[in-house]
Amino acid sequence: MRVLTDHIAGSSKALRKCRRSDVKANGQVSKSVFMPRAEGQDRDGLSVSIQSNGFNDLHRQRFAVDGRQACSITVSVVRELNPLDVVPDPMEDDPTHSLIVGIPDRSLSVENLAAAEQFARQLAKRASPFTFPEETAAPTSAIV
Amino acid sequence: MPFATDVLNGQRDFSQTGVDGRGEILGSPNNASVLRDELSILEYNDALRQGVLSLRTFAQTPLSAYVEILRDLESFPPSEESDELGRLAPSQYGLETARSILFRMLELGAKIPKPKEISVDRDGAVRVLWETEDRAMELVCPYAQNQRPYVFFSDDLEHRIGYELSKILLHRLLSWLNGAATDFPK
Repeated sequence: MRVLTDHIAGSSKALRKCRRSDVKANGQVSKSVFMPRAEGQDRDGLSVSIQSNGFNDLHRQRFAVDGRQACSITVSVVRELNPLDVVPDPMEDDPTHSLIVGIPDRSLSVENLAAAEQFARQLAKRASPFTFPEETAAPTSAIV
Repeated sequence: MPFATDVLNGQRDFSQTGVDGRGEILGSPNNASVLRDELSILEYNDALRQGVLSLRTFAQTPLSAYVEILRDLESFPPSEESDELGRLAPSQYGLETARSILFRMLELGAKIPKPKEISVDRDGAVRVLWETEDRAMELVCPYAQNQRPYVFFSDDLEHRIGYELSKILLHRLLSWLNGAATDFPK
């Protein structure tokens, strides 16, 4: 398993945790999912994980529980929204943890708030619900 | 006031009906239940019987979307509950603010389009989003009383936030959203 420490490939999928109610029946993702919190909780960036086959089980446990699910957005699509980027921010319990950065701090000015609203709208339009592949079957072993 | 009496006795049929800030009942013929709900909520029955208020009807009031939005807002009961992703529900203040601004829009008589989405964001703000082709307008009513409501509006080229939610601005925004005005509202 590769720990993210360098540039994230544009073809990678960034997974963002959301509530099931944030995804409409037609698959459209609510803008709220990408709106930075008002009191600066997302000042460093929006928290995502980079989808990777080796981490599917871990991500399923983190994302697809208790009325939650994951939505995904391709990293190159995020980067098209200049100056947004996706950068690694590995955590002990999720080495693929990353951040969508470049969204202006909404608490600093009306212009920043308007830009944050616009980026949230654009990101939500480009996101889609993500379904994890079937759970990896645990190897069977006989203990004697 | 026989017209009002007929309404109260269920002998008149109204649709798209409401009561404005001055106590005048606005509406067009079809749906009695909406009017009766409004009357009982606002306790206008007596006032009508005594002739304090008057009734008048308009052929094309923008009430169906308005009433639908109010009903949708009812599905978000206020709460202080939150989880790891943020607040789960709006505040009473946020809901009341939303209702009040929506009523202001109704009073303008302009067409209120059916919203694309009504939601509560992770800060507990009530959000009502309208979209028509490339134009979007979103009313945001925050959770906390020390935060002002605003309207975010954008098209493919520009985006802006308006805090002064006067009737003039709301009218300008609705005209732009409905395609009656082409210039991006300033």
